[in-house]
Amino acid sequence: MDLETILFYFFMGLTCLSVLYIAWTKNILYAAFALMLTFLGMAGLFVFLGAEFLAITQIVVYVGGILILIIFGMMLTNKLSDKKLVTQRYQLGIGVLIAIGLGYVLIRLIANGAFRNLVWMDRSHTTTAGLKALGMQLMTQYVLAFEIIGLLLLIALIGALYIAGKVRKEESHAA
Amino acid sequence: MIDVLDILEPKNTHLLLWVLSLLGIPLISFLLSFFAGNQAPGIATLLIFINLLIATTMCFEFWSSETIIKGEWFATAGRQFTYAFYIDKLTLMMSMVVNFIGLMVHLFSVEYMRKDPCISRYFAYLGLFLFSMLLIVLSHDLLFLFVGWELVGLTSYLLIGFWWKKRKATTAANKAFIMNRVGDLGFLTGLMILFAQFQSFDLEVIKSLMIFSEIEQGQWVTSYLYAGVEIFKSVDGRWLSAAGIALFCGAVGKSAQFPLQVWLPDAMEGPTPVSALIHAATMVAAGVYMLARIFVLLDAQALEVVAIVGAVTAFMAAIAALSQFDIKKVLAYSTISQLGYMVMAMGVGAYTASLFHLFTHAFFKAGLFLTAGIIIHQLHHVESNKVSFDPQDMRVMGGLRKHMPYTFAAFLFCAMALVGLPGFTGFLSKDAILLNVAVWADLKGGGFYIPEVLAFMTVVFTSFYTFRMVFLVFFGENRLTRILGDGQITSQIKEGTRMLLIPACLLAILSISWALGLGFDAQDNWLVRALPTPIYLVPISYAAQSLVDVPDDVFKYLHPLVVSISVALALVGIIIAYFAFKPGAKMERRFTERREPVGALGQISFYHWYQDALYQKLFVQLIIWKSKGFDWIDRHMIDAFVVRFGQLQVIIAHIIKWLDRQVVDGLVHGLTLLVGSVGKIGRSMQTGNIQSQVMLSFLFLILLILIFAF
Amino acid sequence: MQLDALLILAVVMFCAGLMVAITRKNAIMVLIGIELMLNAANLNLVAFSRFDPQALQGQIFTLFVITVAVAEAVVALALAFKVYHYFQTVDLDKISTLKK
Repeated sequence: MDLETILFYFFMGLTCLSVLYIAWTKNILYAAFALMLTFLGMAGLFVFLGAEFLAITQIVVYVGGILILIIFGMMLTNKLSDKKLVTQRYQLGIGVLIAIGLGYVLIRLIANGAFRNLVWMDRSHTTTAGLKALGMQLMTQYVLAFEIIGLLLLIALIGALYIAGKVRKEESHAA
Repeated sequence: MIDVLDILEPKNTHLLLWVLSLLGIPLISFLLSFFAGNQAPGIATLLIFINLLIATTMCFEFWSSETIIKGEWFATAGRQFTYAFYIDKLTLMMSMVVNFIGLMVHLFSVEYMRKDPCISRYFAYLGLFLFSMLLIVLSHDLLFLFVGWELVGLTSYLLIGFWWKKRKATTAANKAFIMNRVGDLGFLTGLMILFAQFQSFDLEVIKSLMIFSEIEQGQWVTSYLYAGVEIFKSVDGRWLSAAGIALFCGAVGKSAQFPLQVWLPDAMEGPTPVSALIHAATMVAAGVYMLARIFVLLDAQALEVVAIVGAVTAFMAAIAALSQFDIKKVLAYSTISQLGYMVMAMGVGAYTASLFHLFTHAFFKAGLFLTAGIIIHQLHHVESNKVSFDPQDMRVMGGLRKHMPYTFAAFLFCAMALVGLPGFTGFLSKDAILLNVAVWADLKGGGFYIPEVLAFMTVVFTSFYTFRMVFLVFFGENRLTRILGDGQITSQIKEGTRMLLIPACLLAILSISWALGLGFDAQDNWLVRALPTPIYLVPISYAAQSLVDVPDDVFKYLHPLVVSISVALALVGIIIAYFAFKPGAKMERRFTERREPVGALGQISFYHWYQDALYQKLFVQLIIWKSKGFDWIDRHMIDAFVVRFGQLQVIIAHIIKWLDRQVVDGLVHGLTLLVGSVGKIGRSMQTGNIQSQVMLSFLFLILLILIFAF
Repeated sequence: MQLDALLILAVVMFCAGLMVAITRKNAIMVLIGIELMLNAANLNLVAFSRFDPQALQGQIFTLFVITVAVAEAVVALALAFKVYHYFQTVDLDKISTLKK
């Protein structure tokens, strides 16, 4: 077992444990930090899977953006005091049951799926084209989607600002 | 064969105006007096005076004729009903008497009732009475007669209860009315029997058909034509007697005969002039008059009943009159007794004597009542000062001869007529009755001597109670002084005014036989000749033996005997009365101290043979017991049943309620619950919680995969 | 580099994200769950992309997903602020007005 394999499984375990911790913990802040670990683990896995750009993006966007946003959201939507940021759960039994049920079903599907035998599956483990190829494809073959996603981001930005920014009088009264 | 409709043909309708005026004037008096207020006495008296003139004119006009006035009234169920009036000597004399005494009473009442606030009502009732009485007198149709009969009953009721604030007066009025109803029930039964047999109430029809009816093997058979149709009626012969007795029941009620006579003494609660007019002279004589009209329809058996009832009544009432304290009560019992004489005379077939006595009695008894009225009136004036006593009670009288001599004279004349002393009208008529009774008793023999004995005994009692009254009221010293201890009070008693004295004195004068042109001999005066005894029309086998058929020798032989015996008995009565009640006598002195007479005879007399108490026990108590019984049945059986039934209903209702609530409602509730729970289940899925919905969608996704992928 | 292991990790991530998304009351927590589920999908895409040398569709698709996730997160958090401002809470069971 070489170092690469050990690291790979390390990241897998990190991801898996942090995910389970999120599922288990009641503390939102802990969950947020566990989420960071998950993202890091994911980024690590992406590296091993030949998607270096995605790994970096994962860290930059998720950890640097979304996670910070989430933590800010937590802080803004909870009256912070000495008490812990604890979230309550309900329908826990059914939720767990459904989650386990879905997991069982999906794992059975994966077991029955035999993805290795798919035609297009390359078993040579050749390394990927890399960042250049990704950029080429993005700017040529997927340029329309790329532009539209940029527009989407703009719309989301404006929308978020519109929703969160303006406090109308009647709403504040209603509150 | 006779056709009934032929007899019912209208006739003499041009003479109807006479009758209508005779009937109409009292009716106008009735209507006018009601609204005339204080003018009522004058108007009523004037109208009755006019009516008397009309009656007198009619006497001259129709004296020797027997006129039937008849016309159609109405027809129903194939039967013709007519009005019919009969004008003969009897009706003319009767209407004369009614109008004359009516006028006297009107005149008397003007003074007597002057201070009464309801004087207009009083004179209105008098007018109504005269109308109804004349209707009885004139009508020749039993239905009309019955109408008049009921109307006099009504006016009698109204006038007895005239002072309706007195409780005794209203109860007396009720008693009179109810007693008369009992009699009228009999009368009505008689009418029905006769109508069933003859299909008409017309007396002419009944008499004409009665002649042709026969008794065949105990069956009363009548056959005649009615509008050309032959009618054949055959009933048991006893119905003939029953009809007579039933009609006599009416007379028993109206003329106060045993056993219905108890109402008349109580009727004295009415005003005294009313007692004179209605309860002495006219209305109570209506029964005797009615018997005279149906005299020819009575068979032997019915006549026997009539005779015995009359005799018993005469005797019983005479006994009752012996011990009364109330002067009007004495006169009332005396009236009953004299009516008993009349009825008895009718029963023995002495038609003439009976009616003769009716007329004479009308005058002297009205006179007695009016003089008694004067005494009461004058004593009442004394009473009204500061002392209170019963002005009708003889215990407060005595010695009034000095205070009111004219009244005394009038009273004495009338009393002598009542006793039957020679020279007075009563002597003639009573003598005639006694003679006829004696002849009848000889004819029949056996137990039929009893009425004769009773009749002669009544003579003694009559003279005794009459002169007892005379001595107690007019002789000696006034007992008011003794009772009240006030010597001055007697000086306040004064003679009655002229308005009171004139009618009383007129009637007293008419009690003298010569004043009526009757002479001294009973057997042969104009009045007797004017009213010959008619021949019985009932089938021969049922008819009584007529006294007309008795040879004159028998009468001639018995007459002196009867006269001497009756006069002697009357004198004996007077002498006993004198020794018992002369001033200072033992009984006279004790008289004021007694509340009621002592001794068995005295008690029986005072309480009128306890007849009232008997009726109270027999009928009133019986009805009360019966009512109590029914009340018990009602309460304990019917009510209980109703209550049980109600309870059953409640129980059933509860069961139904339970069923309703548990089953029917349960069904509905169950249904709603089902729908509700289904809704709740459906609702619970629609939580509005997005997480639950996500959960569900994933659940179904799992199920889909499970179903399709494996 | 077992594909199955990666897929199972993705399953675990997805299920955990689902569980978090449907059982937590807090809206932020639900957002975290959704991010987890998106990441699980990303992991799948990248894993399959590893065994497809010719085309980079998996990676490019993942890129888009990340971008959409960012937009989603931004809008969701903005909504969360608004909801919190309006209801003074972000507990989802308390802000339900569809059914009282």
